[in-house]
Amino acid sequence: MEVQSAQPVAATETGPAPAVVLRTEQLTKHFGSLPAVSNLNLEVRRGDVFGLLGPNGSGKTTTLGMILGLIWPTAGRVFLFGNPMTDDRARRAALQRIGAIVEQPAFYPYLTGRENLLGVATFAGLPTDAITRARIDEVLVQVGLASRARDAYNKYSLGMKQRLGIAAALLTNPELIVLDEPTNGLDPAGMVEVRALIGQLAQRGITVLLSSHLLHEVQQVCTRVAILKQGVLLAQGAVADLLASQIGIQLGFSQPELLQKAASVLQEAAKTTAPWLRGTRYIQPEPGAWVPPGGWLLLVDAPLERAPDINALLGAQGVYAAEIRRREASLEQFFLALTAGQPQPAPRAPTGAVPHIAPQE
Amino acid sequence: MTPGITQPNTAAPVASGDWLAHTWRLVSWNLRLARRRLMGKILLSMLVVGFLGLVGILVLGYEFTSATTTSSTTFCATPAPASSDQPPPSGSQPCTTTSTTTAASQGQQEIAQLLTFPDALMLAGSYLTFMGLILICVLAGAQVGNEYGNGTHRLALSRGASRAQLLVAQVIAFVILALAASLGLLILGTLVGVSLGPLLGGNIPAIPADGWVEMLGFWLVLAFKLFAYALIALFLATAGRSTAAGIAGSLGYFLFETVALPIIISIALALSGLQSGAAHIQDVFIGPNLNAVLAGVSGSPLDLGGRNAGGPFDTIAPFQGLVVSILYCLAFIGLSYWMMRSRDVTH
Repeated sequence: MEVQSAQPVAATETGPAPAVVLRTEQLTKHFGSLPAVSNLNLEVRRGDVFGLLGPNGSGKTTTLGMILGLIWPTAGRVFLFGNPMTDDRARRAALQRIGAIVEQPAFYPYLTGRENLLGVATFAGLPTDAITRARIDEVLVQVGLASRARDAYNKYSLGMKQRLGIAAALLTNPELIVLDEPTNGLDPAGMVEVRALIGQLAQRGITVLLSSHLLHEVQQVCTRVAILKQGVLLAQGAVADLLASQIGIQLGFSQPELLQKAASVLQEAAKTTAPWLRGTRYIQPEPGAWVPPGGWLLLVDAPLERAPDINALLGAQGVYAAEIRRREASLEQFFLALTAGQPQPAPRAPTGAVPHIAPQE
Repeated sequence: MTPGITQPNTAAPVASGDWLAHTWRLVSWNLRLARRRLMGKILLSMLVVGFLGLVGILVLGYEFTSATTTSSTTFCATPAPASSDQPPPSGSQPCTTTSTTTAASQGQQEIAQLLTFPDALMLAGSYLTFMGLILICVLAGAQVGNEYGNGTHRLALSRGASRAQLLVAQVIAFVILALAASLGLLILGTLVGVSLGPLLGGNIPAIPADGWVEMLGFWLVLAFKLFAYALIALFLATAGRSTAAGIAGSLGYFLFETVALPIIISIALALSGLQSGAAHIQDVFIGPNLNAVLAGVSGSPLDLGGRNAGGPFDTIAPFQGLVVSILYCLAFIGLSYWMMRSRDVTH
C-alpha cells in the first residue's frame, strides 16, 4: 500500500521510482510567529493528477506559492524537474515549463483575452511571433473562448475568467500544470468541463497539481493526493490506496442494544474463531448515504467475502442485522476522519463505550 | 466549452533562455500596457492638448494686447495727429497712446518671440517640467500599482519572469516613455516655433552648433527629470503595493517641492538672515538638484533653461545636482528591488 504519513516520501516508496516532477523537502513557512506550512514533504510524479487537499487555511495556497517562487520558504527546499530552486536562473528555467493559476486568475482588465494571453507568453519568455499567436488562438479554441477573444477581460463572466486562466496555463505546452481551486466560480456544467479538461491533460501525459477543498471533485480526477491540515501533511498517496483503508462491511441495526450485542459477539469471535476480523466501530450515517431502519451502523473491518460468515456468527447468537452492505469509502470520509478525527457517536448512542476491537497485529 | 485538449496543432513556441531577450520583451510589454491603458491615452491627450491650450492662451494674450492698444487711443488727452509723420502741435500734452503702444508692442514681441523657435522649446520645457511631471507620476504610479491591484505581478512571477526582470523592464520602459514624452513635446514646441511664432512676427535666429548641443542636453535633462519622478512613483507604488500610494505619494512630493519648499526656505531665510545658509535646505531634495542640472546644461547660448530652471535659490552646482539626482534614482531602484525581493507575493 502506498499510503504515507508525513514522513519523507522517498523513504517509504518501494519499487522503481518514476520520474519526479516536483519534490519538496521539509518545506516550512511561518508568517511571523504563525506557522502556515510545517516540514512538508511532497512528491509529484510525471503523469500524476495530484490533489492537494485541506480545509481553508490549511496551507494549500501557501504551498503552491512556495513552489512557484511567489512566497519564500522559511525553511526547506523545492525541487522542480529534479533541480533545486535555489536562484532566479533555476526558478526561471523551471517555471517556463509550468503553467499555473494561483488563487484567482489575474489578468489586465482593459486588455482582451487574446492580449492577456500574449502577456502570459511574454512573461514566460516566449517570442510574440506567429507561432505564439497561433498557439494563443489554439488554446482559446480549446477553452471555448475563441468567439470572445477580442472582448476586454473585464467584460468576461467569472466562468470565462476561469477558462482564460486555464488557457493561460495551457499556453506554453507545460509539463506541469498547477491549478489552485480550478472550479471556483464555475457553474456545475463548467465544473464538469474542467474535470474533463484535467482528464484530457492527464491522458496527454501532462502532470497536474491541483488544490481544492471540493473532495468529490478531487476523487473524480486525482490519481494521488496529499492532505494538509494546519500546514501539516496528514497523508499522501494514491487515492485508491488511501480509500482501501476505509472499505469495510456495514451492518445496519434498528436498535442500539442490537448493535452493542453484535459488537460484543464479533469481539469474542475475533479472539477465537474469526481471526480475520480486524476490528469494529460504530459509525454515523453520512448525509445522503444509506441509512438503515433505526439508523444504527456498525462498521466491520474484514474482507468483503467474509460477509456471510459475519452474518452466520451473529445469527448463531440470535443477533440479526437489518441489512448488510459493502461500505464504499469516499475521500470525503477519509478526509474528515483525518482532519476532524473519527466521527463521534450520535447523541442517541447507547450509554457506555461502544465495543471496539483493536486491529489485529 | 471545451473541444478537447489535444496535442498542439501548431509548432510549440519555445521560451527564450536569454535573460536580456526576455527582459526586452517585458519592456515592450510595459510600453504596450502604457499605450493600451485608457489612462495612458487620456494623459497623452492632456499633455498635448494642454500644451496647445497654453499656446492658444498666449495667442489670445497677443491679440488681447493688440486690442487694448487700439482702445487706449481714445484716452489720449490731445487729439492725435492725423499722420504720424506730422509733429505734435507745440505746447500740447504728450499723447499717452504713444507709450501704451510701445509697451503693448513690446509685450506682443515677447509673446511672439516665446512662440518662435528656439524659445518655443523653452516654453515646451517649462510646461513639461510642470504638467509633464504630474502626468508621468500618474502614469507610473498607475502602471506599477495596477500590477499589484490586478494581481498580474503574481501572474508574471509564476510564469518565469524574475523580480529583477520585472523591475528592470519597468525602469527601462519609464526611460523610454520619458524620452519619448519630452521629445514629442519638444517637437511640438518646434512645430509651433517655426510656424506660429513667425506668423506673429517672431524671428528665428541662426542656431550656432553649440546651440544644437544645448537643445540635445535640454531634451535629455528634461527626460531625466521626468524619469526621476517616475521612479519616485514606482518606488512608492511598490512600497504601498497600490496605485494610490504611487500617484498620491509622488504628486504630494512634487507639490511639496514646488509649493511648500520655496515657502519654507523663504521663511527660514527671513527668520535667520540671507547669509544663514538656510537656502541650502533645498540641496537635499531631488527636484532642485534636477533644476540645477537643467540650468547648467541649457544656460547658453540659447538659454533654454537657464533663465529660471535653477529656481529662486541658486545653491546647487550642476555637477553636484547631477550626482545627487543619480544617487536618488539609484536609491529608488535599489529600494524598490529590495522590497520586491524580500516580500512574499500574496493577494
